[in-house]
Amino acid sequence: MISPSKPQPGEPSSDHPTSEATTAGAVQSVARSLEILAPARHVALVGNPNTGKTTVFNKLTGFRHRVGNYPGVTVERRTGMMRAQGDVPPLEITDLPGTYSLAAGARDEAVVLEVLLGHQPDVHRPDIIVCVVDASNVARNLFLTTQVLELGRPVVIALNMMDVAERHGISIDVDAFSHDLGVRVVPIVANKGKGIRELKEAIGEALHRGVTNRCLDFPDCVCAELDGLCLSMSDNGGSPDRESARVEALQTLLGPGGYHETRMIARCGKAFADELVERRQRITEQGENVVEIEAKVRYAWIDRVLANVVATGDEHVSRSDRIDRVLTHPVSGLVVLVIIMGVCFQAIYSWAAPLMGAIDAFAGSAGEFVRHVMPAGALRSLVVDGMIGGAGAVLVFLPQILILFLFIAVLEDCGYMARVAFLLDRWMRRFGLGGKSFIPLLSSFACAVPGIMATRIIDDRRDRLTTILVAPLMSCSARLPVYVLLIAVFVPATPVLGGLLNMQAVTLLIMYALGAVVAIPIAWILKKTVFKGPPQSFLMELPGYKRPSVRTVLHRMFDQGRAFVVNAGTVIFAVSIIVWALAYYPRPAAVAKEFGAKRQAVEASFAPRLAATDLSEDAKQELETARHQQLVELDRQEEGAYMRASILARLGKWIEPAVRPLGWDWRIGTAVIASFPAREIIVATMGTIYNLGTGEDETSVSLRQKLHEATWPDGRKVFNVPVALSIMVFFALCCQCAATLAIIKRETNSWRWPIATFTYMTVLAYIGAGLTYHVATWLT
Amino acid sequence: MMDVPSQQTSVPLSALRAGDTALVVGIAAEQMAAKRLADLGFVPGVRIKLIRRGAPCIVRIEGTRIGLGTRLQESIHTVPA
Repeated sequence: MISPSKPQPGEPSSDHPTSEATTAGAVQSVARSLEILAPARHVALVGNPNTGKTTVFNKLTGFRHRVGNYPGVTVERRTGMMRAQGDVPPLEITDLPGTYSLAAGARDEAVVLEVLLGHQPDVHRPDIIVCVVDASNVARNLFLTTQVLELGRPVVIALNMMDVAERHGISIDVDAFSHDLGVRVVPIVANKGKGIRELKEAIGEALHRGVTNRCLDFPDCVCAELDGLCLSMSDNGGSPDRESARVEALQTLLGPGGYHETRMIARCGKAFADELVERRQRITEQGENVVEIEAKVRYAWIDRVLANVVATGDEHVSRSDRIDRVLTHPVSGLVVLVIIMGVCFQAIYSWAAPLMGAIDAFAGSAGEFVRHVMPAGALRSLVVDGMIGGAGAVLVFLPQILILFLFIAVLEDCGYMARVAFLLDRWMRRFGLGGKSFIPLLSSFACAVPGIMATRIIDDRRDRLTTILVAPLMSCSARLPVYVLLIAVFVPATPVLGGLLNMQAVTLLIMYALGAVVAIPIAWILKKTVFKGPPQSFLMELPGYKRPSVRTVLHRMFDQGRAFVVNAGTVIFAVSIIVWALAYYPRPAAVAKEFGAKRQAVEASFAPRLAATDLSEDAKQELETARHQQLVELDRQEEGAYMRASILARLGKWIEPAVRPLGWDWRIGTAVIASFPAREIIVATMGTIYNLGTGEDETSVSLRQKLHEATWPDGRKVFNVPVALSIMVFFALCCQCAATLAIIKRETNSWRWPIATFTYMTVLAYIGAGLTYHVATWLT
Repeated sequence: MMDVPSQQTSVPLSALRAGDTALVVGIAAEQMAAKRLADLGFVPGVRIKLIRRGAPCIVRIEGTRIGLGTRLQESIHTVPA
């Protein structure tokens, strides 16, 4: 059944290049001589998952690339330029998501074929396709390759991981392989950079040579239906060229219930749906199974080709299988997993702490420096409190995020991540999620932003969105300052459990667990309502273990880190400046006048005493200090007065009726609004609101004291244990984090999900805080 | 079912023991799941080996290890060989 694709009149074929192909070659060489004028040519990189496709991409582009999203879907779009080499012109390379087949169940999976056919808006149809094949597992990889060969584009095969194949005793006759497929097959070891040069040359060569692909034949009964279907589809505005139309027809005909069928029926109407049913019926009558026929034909062809090309060594238990005996075992596997996660979290908290301290201190001293060199006023406040404060709020989390990404990249690159999903699938399934949701949710305990970025490994869209929506409930490290401050002030350190723990530790533990516990029913409800659908059974390849590549790991870590700073950072920064403006303006003149007078009064009271001639040096020093202290205190009071007169405070007073059921006064309400960019800002805002000036943190004694002293207008204390608990519960459940919302927008490519997340979490937080306040009040 | 053994003697993949090898004789899953399995190589006549039992289990097919959830395991009919 092996045969070259049937040559069609006017089409280039491997054996008889036609005049058109020659013309195309001539045009190309003209274009080459006018390289500067030639438009960029496009290369698409396709392949199965775990074939090292992204490493190939990085080697071809020299690690320079842009990351974005395809419009309308949640799939990452990665493009880069391959520099000209020899007579190969510069090329734009797109790294398509890893896939086993061009068949697609959902829109997100269809991106690969849409790009290859040129149907994806804003993306050029590739001029050439590079198919990355894992040399240690050629048969399964060739399934996709045979599909790609039919697209009517020049193809180059990058036979990656040749070293692994050799170690497994697999030898491949590359020339025979190349001959059977009709395209260049380039053996490479991408992570060692071997064969990359040859691959680039082969790409250039294929660009000039055009289509030489050999394709396989389907049984006549399928071919007849395909031809018929192509005709009906072209009547309804199908693909312009024959190969694309045929591939589209094939995926539509042989993928019942899939995305391509749904899309074609939506475009062509009911008559087309009926036609499809009839055509499938005829195939079934010939004794073929519509769902299985494509795989059956392709694998039969592959087996025949490989019989002459690949020699496998003796059947042996591989190293990966031996490792898997321990790591996928339901008991020992879980023990190892817990240890790895423990080390990971310990590292995130302990390694990052000094770096976070350093960044915080740096932002602080930068602020101090500006405070000294700039004259007081709106601009200085904008720079110090708005810009430096905003940038600090972003950068302080960078160390934790980089360490987390480092671990994720290592675990992913060595192949362990698939085992995590495998081990935890049965546990996560009880909450309506799959095993792949575990790492994103666990990461969210450090920070929801990398957690949400890590949901890219979840291929089921409903599972992925559910995970994204509950990830911000996990108790991230930004909540810790809020807990630490309020627990230290209001929760007594009474020993519990026979002195093993104290009440403060227990409260902290409960706060940490609260989000995760609440996330369980939320995920369950989401999967029963908004993201309803048949649960996806676990289906995942467990790739062979390999030593992680330092360069790949570091590259991924910095790449994600940069994505965090750019995406989350700009939003936090912008929102910080808005909140700064709300808290700074309108600066009423009355306040300035009042404090001007008070300052004069202080000066006036000290002036005669300082002017006294009989004053000793010591006494004079003492008076100066006292004067200075009073003036600083006035400055603080003035800041507080401005703050209380600000737009933000007016908003706080305006919402006071709404927050009263939670036991809060307007000052707490104001601080909560101000902490919209990031939760931890509440500590600093409370500092300002309670006349402490800026620069307070959760360990500040004076802030703790002020909180104790705050009263309602009738003299009752504002803060007590129920109020503190209510604030903590609110922050445990709310989504006061602009970075999280920004990353949800980016990852889902829609404002709908960040708005939904913010809304449901705020409602949840409000109800939770109210309940906590009333129950705690009733108990005490 | 062409030249593969009849389905009467077949057992679902979930009924195999760890270490057993078997031939796939048919897949009885919902269309899209069946297509996904087929494209990964689960077609009648292919030889597989069950590496680890359980939910999910691990199956070796065409030189790769694939993890399969309960419903997919039950939908794959095999004849021990």
